[in-house]
Amino acid sequence: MRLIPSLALVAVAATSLRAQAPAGTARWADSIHVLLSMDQVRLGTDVDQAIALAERVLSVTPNDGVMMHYKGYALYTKAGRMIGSGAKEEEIKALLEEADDILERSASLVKWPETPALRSAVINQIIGVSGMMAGMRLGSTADGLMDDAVAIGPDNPRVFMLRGVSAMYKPKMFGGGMDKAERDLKRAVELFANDMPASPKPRWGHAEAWAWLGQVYAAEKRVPEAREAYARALALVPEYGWVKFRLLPALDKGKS
Amino acid sequence: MRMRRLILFLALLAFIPPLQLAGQSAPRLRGVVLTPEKSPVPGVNVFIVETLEGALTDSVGRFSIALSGGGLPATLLARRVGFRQFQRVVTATDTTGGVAITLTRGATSLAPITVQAGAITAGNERGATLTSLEVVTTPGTAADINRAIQLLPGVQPVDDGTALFVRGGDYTETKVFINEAVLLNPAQLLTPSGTFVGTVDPFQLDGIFFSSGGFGARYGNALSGVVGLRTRGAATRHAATLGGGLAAWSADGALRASEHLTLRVAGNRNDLSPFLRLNSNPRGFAPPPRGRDLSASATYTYGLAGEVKVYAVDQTNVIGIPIDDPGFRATFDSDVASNLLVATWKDVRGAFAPLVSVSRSRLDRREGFGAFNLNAGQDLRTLFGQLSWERSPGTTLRLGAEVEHLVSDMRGSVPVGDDRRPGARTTVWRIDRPGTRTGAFVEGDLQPLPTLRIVPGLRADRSTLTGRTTLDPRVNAAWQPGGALSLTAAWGIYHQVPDPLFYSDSLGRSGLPSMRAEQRVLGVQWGEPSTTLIRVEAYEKHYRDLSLLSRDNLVATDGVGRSRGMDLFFKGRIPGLDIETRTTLNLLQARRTAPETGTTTRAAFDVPRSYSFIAEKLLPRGWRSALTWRTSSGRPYTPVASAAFDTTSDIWVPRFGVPNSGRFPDLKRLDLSASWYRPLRPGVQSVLYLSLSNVFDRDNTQGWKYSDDYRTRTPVRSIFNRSVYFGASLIWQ
Repeated sequence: MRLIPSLALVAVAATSLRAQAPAGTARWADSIHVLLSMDQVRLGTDVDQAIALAERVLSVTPNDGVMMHYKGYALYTKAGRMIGSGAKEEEIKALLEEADDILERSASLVKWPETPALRSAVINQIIGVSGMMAGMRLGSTADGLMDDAVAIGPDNPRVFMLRGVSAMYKPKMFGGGMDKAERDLKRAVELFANDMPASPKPRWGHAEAWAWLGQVYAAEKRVPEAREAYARALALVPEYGWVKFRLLPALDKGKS
Repeated sequence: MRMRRLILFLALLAFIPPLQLAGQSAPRLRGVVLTPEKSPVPGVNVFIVETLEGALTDSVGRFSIALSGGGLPATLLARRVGFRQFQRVVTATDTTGGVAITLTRGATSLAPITVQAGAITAGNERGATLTSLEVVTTPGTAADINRAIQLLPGVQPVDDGTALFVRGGDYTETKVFINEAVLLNPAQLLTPSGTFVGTVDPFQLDGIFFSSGGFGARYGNALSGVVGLRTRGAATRHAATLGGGLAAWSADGALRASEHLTLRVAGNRNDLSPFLRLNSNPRGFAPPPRGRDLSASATYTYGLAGEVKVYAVDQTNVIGIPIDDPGFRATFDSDVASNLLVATWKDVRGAFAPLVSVSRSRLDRREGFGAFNLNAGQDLRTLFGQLSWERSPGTTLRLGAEVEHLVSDMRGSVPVGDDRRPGARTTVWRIDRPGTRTGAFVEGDLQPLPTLRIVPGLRADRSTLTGRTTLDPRVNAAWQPGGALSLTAAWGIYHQVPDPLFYSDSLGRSGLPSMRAEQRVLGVQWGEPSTTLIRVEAYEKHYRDLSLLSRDNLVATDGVGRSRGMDLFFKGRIPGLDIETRTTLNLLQARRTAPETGTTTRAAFDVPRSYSFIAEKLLPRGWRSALTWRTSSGRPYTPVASAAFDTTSDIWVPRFGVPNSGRFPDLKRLDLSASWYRPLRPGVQSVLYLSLSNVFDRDNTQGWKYSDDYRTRTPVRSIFNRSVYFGASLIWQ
């Protein structure tokens, strides 16, 4: 039964790419959003297609802050995938630095809370692949950007989701920790319930927030709660590949 | 599980055919992307510019684009990082025959070439050769920017001082800029090391540019090298640091007043007394070096790249250095006070990037040693403006102009002959004439090929002190034939106005011309700064019209000189050990007119060989350890051939041998450091650090102490005996 909604998503996505109903930037933003949604399901090359589409748009309208945001988000998504797949550190870093650059430019053109939050997440990933010295150098920048994001969007679910994810990987001494991650991710899923942004504003993150919350529970050996969170993610994106093929099997095997 | 996947696959097939069928109603453009060697290029973004319909090439370089959004002909673009962009018009014929695209390797037009002959950058921006942290934490540099720059390629370690002797040039030939404003350089008189110690707190910097030669037309009035310092700008959040060490206390804070405005303030107070006592320093400073500095800045940011920054620093330093001259023992006293106020504005408006800097700085110095006395006040006002115009990708034009107005009020007396005792015969001099230098430049920054960057430029300067106009053509080129390899070259003419002191009628003369140098640089570089980088550069410099100060403090004119050499820089990680290393090797031969004899001989700063090795390792639990090993030839000195007793002045008068024909023994030094970084609670971190300098306590002779009759001499050791230093910092952010 779960198959049908996911295939419907694929179909809608493909149709959306051709239909291109909304005009201008919103149309391309929707297409990228759909591609990234498809990527959640297929864990394939849709993210590359999304990046390529953003690059095409930017080659024609190089100062399109919205498209810069989407390209940055797509690069961040791809980098996250590469981190999980054991790709070379230099390649991941190059991708993240590209994401950081384009999000920084986007932030000067479009005042969305998601942009500094994404930049903060990207910088935290750079710290993750670069080591402690990078943490000393960039840590306060990442924290400052997240503070900005919360100030601009105090009720933005994506901001809290990204802050929660950062808290998962940040040592307690640096302001992270699983308790903070859980608090932020719970807040994020609450906020997602009433989150209905109009295109081209960012719409991503709802299913991810549940997936991340599930990981927090899994890390704390709260298996039933983790399973419930993953189920909530799959209810939103029934063929969510990451949850279905990686997180749930890991939970079954007793790994977080 | 397999069954479910099969169902999924079949279901996907069930959905996809209608979509493909829908696509088949429109023509498709198919093709393949290959290299000139016929290898497929995957991941190429191939698209129609007019509709943005496109595709990524697959693993064998194939692509297929549905042309549903518009008719043909249309513009087809293919791009991938690492390859030159491909563009052509496609017509209906191409939908049947297919399109074959050949992508040639090379730097993409999206990646400008930043490699430049002679240049090293340090900062947190990407592409920088070193990070700011790497610079200020180098063991043995005491977090002094100049001492850190001394370990970069092209800088000769001539003595214990902080002066920058660059590729066979005197230290006065290297200019320091802060936020585009030139810093006052102390006059060259009885302070062979020169100094601008602590002018800028290194932790208040976020970018350092150092060029050991071949720099572009933007920089005027510098014969040998350029240091560009950029102070920290906007903060992302409030932050504060409190630091204390064996010889210094410091505090700084950043207040993010709003999204657009950041205020910073920093203060340092240093007193080397406890450090010298603890380490039993034999030099007997009286008073030991001590000083303080206070700096503040305000940064306002707006738009995409707009920034207005105001930076001010006020500083004082005192030191008393015991000097044991034959027949006269006393202390060389120095009391220096300086301040600087600089405001900069920069922005990017479309294809134009304006930059304006206005500054005022003042330097007051009082120095005395026996009959020698100096009271110097210098007031410098500068205005610099530059407009960059990116006419098209790969074609940028820069136009700029600057005015420097220097008012020097210098008074003093210098001994005539070798009797330096109080009351000895002196030449009394005074100079209070202002000097104005105006300059203008034009520079192209061209990338005619994705792999080639050429920066030709021309600058003109006119000084009221010289009364002449100079023209300096310069060109700098970088070619990246493939991979991580870069070949660089630079040539240029450089002029510098002599020190205002030299225009005193009693020491020199009015109307001295600008000093001139011709530089040639040839280099090769391989690698990436973030991983492994090897850089080798060879250079040659010819000097003429040099104004030189003799041992008797008289100005000799029409000096000539030549320096040639090679420097090597390697940065990389030792595999398996995770140790980051930096290695620098400098080879040099420098000759100059000796002002005492008028003959061309070894330059006083001719250090034929110097080598430094820096290793740094991050250890678990926040520990970091580092070492610096350096060795170099000793610098030249002029030996005393004999001495005769002068009954009139009642002293022994030395007769000197061939200028700079002696050479001090080789210098060797090992410095170690360790630090422990520990977060105390969220937002509060601490750093404890410990360093041990000159581990083997080598003398590293810096001079000779002669007996009254010059018959015997004993070495004067370096001021850096084996020394331990420790301190701690608390960081709130």
